[in-house]
Amino acid sequence: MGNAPIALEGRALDIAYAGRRVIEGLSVAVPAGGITALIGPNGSGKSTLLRVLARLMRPEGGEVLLDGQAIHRLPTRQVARRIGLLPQGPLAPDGLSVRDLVGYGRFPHQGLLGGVSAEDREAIDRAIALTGLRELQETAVDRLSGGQRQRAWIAMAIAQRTETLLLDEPTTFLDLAHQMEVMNLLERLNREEGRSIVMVLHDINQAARHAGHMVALRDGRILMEGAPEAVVTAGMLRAVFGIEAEIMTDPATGRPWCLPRRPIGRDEE
Amino acid sequence: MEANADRGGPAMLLTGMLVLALLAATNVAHGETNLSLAQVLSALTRDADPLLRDMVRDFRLPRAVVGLLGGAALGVSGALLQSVLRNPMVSPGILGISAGSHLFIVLATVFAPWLLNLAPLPLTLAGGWMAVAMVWLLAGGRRASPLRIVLAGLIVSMTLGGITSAVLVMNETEARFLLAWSGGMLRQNGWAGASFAWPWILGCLALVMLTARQLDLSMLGEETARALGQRTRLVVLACLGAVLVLTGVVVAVAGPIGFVGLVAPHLVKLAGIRRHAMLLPASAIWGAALLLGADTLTHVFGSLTRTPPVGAITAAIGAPWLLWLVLRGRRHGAGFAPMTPFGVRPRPLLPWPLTAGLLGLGVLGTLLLGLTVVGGLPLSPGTVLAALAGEGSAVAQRIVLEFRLPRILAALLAGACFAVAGALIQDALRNPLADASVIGVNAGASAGVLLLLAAWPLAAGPVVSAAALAGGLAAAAAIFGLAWRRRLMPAILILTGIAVGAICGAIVQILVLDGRFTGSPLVWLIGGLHARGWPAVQVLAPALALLLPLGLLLARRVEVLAFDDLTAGSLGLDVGRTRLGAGLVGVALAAIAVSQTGPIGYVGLVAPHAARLLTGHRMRPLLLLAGLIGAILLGLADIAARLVVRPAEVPAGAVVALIGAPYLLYLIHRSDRS
Amino acid sequence: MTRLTRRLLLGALPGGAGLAAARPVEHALGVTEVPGTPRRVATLDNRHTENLLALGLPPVGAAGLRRYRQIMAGVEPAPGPEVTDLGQADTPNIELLLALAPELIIGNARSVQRHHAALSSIAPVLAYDPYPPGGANLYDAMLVHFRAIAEVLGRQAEAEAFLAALDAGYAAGRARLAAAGFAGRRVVLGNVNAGITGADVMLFNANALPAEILRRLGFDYAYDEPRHAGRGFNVTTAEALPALQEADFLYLPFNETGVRNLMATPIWRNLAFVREGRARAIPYREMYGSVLTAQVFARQVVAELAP
Repeated sequence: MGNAPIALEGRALDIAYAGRRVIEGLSVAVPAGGITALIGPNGSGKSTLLRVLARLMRPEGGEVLLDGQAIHRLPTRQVARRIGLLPQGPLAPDGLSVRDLVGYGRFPHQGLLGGVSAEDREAIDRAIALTGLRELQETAVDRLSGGQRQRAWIAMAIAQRTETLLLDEPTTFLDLAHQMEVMNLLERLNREEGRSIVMVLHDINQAARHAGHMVALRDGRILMEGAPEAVVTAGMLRAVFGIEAEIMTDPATGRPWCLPRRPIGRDEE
Repeated sequence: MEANADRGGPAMLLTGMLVLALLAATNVAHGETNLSLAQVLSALTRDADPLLRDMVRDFRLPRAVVGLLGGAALGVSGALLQSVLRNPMVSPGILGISAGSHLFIVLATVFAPWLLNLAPLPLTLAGGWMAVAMVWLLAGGRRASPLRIVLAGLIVSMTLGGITSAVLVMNETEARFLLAWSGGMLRQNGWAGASFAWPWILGCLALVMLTARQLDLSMLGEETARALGQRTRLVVLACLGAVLVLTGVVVAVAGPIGFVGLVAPHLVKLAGIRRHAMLLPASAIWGAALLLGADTLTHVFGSLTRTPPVGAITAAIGAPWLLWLVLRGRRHGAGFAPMTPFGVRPRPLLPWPLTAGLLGLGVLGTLLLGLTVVGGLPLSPGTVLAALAGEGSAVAQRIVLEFRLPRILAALLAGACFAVAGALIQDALRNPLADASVIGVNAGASAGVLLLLAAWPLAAGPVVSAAALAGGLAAAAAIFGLAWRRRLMPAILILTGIAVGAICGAIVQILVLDGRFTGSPLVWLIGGLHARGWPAVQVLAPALALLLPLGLLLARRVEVLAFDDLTAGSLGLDVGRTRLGAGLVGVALAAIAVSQTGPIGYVGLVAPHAARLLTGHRMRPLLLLAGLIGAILLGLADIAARLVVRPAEVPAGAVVALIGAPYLLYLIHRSDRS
Repeated sequence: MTRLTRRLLLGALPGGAGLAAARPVEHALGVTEVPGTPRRVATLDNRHTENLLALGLPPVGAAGLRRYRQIMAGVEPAPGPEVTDLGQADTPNIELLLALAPELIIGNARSVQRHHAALSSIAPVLAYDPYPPGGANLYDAMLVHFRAIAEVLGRQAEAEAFLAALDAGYAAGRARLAAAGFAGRRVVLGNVNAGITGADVMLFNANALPAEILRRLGFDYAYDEPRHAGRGFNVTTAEALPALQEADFLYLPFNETGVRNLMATPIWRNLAFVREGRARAIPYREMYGSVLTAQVFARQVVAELAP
């Protein structure tokens, strides 16, 4: 990563969740204009870290810096204009139409009276177009299929027009075609609009294929970070996920590809 | 875990029995005259003083036995409900079963006393069954989430309780004597109650023990249990049936008693007991200990001043317990469902200003109706119009300008206040069954009024209104204060609200009972607009003029609260502060309205839903339309209240409940079908 | 109604006695100016309906009238058909009240307070608290209120005549009871109301209205608990009875089942006043608590004990 520009940085973070210290003394930097993937086993603190980076949780120690300013001292709204977060399994009120949902992405840009400006309308239209939801924009969100619904939520995050977009497992519960659709959409956003993307992913191969920077967490600590080729190694998989795996290279993309073989030290249980 | 449960079980049973024996002995020793343990024992011997013997054998022992049986029945009922519904917050009281049984007993006492003596159990059973059916429907049937069930129970209890009070108020003489029993009483004259109760209760307990193994299975979840070969429906129905009988019997012999069914199973579970073969008997023993302990306390208080009802004591013990349970628990509300209103239009039927215009005409129509058809004297529309223009007879002018106009205006304004408050609070708590009464406003206002009247029976009207306002605000402030550390999570707010409401309810119960022969304390607890004049309008109009714009200003943010907290936060919303803001505006509106009309439910519950059907999610039109609908609803209710039993009138609050409850059930039914 | 409507159309004149000077009258809610000598009086509490009937000036309208007619059926003087029913005591019909154009409104302070403003815009309002603070003798309080109302209405003579007749009634009753051997007997009055579990007994305290009447009939009242003096009664259980068993027990059976349940218990049967036949039922009557109730209650006690 070296001296690449930094979009968002966490310094010496101590984070407690539900009364339990889950992250201690963690520092992380998100490169600007890239795609970063957070990987790690269940309970490693990925989602919690994401929430802290988005200012939705206050760390017990340390700080999150945005352009050198501590975001927990910035007004919520100002942060929301620069960082967006799509949580895992977000919930929308029943009967809300796609267009209305996407419209809420403009909330941080609107004043107390909430009038809709031309810019708002343009952002909403563009987000709907990018996600291919034009035909569905009057449909209620709860009537959409899983993949469509996830695209609608991403459209909302797009309409928010933040330079950094954080996503918590955006592909979980989607079938393969929809997973690819979502990942391609995010790549396109990153490429065409230059947005920095940070996402928590369960699938190491997916992460290795789409991310330019990977961060591997275990027990609230970063065990490894860097380019996929450097991170996705047999040693990392052993240390982070506790599995023996073979690493190959995907001939089409040149990215590393892991083939899990067996868990370590679990046979005797 | 399993090993743990087995180790804790016998110890818990044993200590329970010991405590129970101790409490039972103390209980027998306490009463109108306090006896020493030696006296109690001597009373059981052959050559005892005959009076002492009779007193112990025919008053104290049956009282203790009814306490024992009743407490055991309630403890087991609570444990069953909590297991079957997989919901730690339910009990027969919270589900409205006691309230339903109580209503039926009151109706029978007033309208068909012979029925009461003939067959008390079918009556209480029918009442309990009705309550359960209503809760089930309100909570959305099989889709019901635990919190929805609790809320539905709360609403059903409040509705049935309100109707009970209305019946009592309209039938003063009978009421005074029924009131003692409304708070729960273990007092017995002889063994009639106990010998009626024991076969039912012991029979049900035995039956229930047979299902213990099945209940262990159901704790794994319905699908898993079914996969393991359980006939889940049968288990649920059998347990629910047992709960209805157990609760019905207890209400028939001792009146409605809350919180024993909630607290006893929790005490037992705290000791690590999970298996039902142990959980059920232990809940029975600790339930009995709780009830007997509470009853003993009433006699200790009784010798100082006057005996409070045992139900008030169990509530005073149980409500703080519920608070502790709610505030301590870490997992509640973590994956909390969003607001799912009962039907929303993605696109409004008509542009909302047009709808607003039509509803405005409706308000105007209600106003005119209120000016012409109501009251003691028939006035023609012509006379009314002339009076409005300052012409015609002096009396007609006074009736129209000094009484009818301000009263109907007060009804319209208060209805709007309740509705706007309800819309704000529903969205702030992200729950379609919420309104101001859920966060303590009504209960607090009632407690405030009765506390004032206990200290100062002749307090003037405006002072009483101020006490209602203070009580409502204080209760809401306590709820928000307690829930603040849990970031005002909706589930926490609602459950805290139930606990604080129960504490206020205990105060009300004690004071109502105490004042029943010297005044009409019940009258203050029933919402209505009798004799509301310009002073009420002068309070309500500025309140609405000030707080509605504040609500409209907050509206856009409140709208975003409808998402889950993370999404709302990532959109730049300060979730806690917005929820607090919307809650405060809602509470202020509702508390001011309650201070003028007394506690009126349902307007705040129903009007926002009706508005959502017309306009969708947009909060600003929603607030305006809900306000207009609320105005029409309370206006029409007050007109009806004055027409049905002329020259007397019924409380408008009861009319609203009678319109509102079926409408709400219809809405839910409709939304369930789609 | 036609009468009212006619009045309405003519435009009722406020207060026929408007010319006379107003005078201040003190009552539970303060001091009120009452002009002249009111003739048209509305009562919002059955106590005062009793008072007005006893003064020979029936109210023009009365709240709680339906109930009054049931409870006080057969008691003379009774309210005639010309008295307008104003609805329930706690929520009197304000419009009917206004249309009646009363010159004075009299009510119970504990319910009048709710709508005092509306009422006093119609006519001067006098409100009396039947339970004055400090545990005073409630019979005395009743006399004070009766005489105060009589004075405002210029009917002192009628009041004194009624009270004299009342006292004469007590004297005659006392003589008959003495002849039947009741002179100086200790007595307690209870209301067996029992609810559905059959366990409540309401005992009148020594400062209660019926207790004082029993004293005036020559009894010695046996139950006096300062704790309960504020309200004049205590709601307790039959457990309180053994302490009182040496006295005679008179009771008002509110609820048949309750009474039956109570009497089925051995403790009841073993009480001295039961064994010795000194427990007697007096026909149940709701105690409105003013002079007509007093008169009727005294008569019933005498009729029951010394027929």
